Amino acid sequence: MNIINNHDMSKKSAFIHITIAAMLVLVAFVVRSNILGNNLVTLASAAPLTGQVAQVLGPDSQGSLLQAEKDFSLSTTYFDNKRWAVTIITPIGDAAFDRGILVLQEKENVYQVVLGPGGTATAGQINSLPKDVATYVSSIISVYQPLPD
Amino acid sequence: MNIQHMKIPVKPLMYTLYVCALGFGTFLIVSAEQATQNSGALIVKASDPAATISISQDNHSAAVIGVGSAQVHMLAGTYYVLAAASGRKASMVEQITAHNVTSVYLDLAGATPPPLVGSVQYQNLDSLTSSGLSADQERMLKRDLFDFLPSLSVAVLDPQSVQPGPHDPNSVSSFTLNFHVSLNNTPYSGQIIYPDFQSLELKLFDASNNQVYDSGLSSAVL
Repeated sequence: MNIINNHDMSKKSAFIHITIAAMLVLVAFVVRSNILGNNLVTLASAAPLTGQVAQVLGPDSQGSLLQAEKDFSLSTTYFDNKRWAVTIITPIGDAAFDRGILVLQEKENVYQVVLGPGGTATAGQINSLPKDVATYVSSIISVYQPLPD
Repeated sequence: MNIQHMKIPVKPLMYTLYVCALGFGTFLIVSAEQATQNSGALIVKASDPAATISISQDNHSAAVIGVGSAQVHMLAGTYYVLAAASGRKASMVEQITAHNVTSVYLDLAGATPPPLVGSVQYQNLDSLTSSGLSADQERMLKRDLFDFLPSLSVAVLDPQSVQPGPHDPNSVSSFTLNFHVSLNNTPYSGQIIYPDFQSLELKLFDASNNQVYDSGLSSAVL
């Protein structure tokens, strides 16, 4: 009987200690939340260009940005010492967009969108790119000549 | 069997539990404190109240921070801020620094187009077409100038300087055109070499007559 009581006491004591420890962690989370405030935005590490691609693809019907390797995958080719990048965007699953490309140029240490996203471009747009980029882009998308106004 | 020998040592376990909980809690608070020490504020307003405003960073994911306007704190760094509505987009690169407030206005109506050849101001290039270049070649020339100087904003060709080079009509040889051009107010001498009306090679020389660019002979992409 004593053994059973000791065992119960031990379980009760352990439960109390675990609860106190959990409370400590909870308080730390509350303090952290107060320090950070509600509007501190941190961006998770991700594969190159996935953030910019998610931005230009825009939010889904729920208002959330699409995610790399869940909603789309990227295949990127770089040019001119990585000053230019052409990435092929392939939808995954039920993503509501077609396969297309995005052309980006590195300026101010950030890749900025120059052309796309899309699967077509005008001859003028293509010829506006550096030659090696233009040659590559015209080989993977449809190029059309707009009718004059 | 001796039950006493099987008794779990509660005290050391309890101490370990408290140490872990306190350590983890301290980490949460200290890391939050460090984050706020290294963060700045970003205030964004878009011209369209329905515009979705998002931010991204190289090698990081993107996040929507508001619709129409946003006010957030972010870790110091360089961010690509984009507003999009009804297919129109406006973007800016912003440097967020610790303890500072950065304000951005994104005008979707007057969205700045990306840096393309078409956004460069070219002057007097028609004097080259008057001298024999085709429209395709003029377009290729613009592309080559942009290729040489991606930051190009103004290119002014001196129409008086356009001079055809020697050409023997009795042999198959390329045509040449020599000219002077100012690129972002820096003077260059140029030479265009073209064997036909679908291809072109551009060479540029600086004020000391050193060759600074050779596009190589290329044909129209299309």
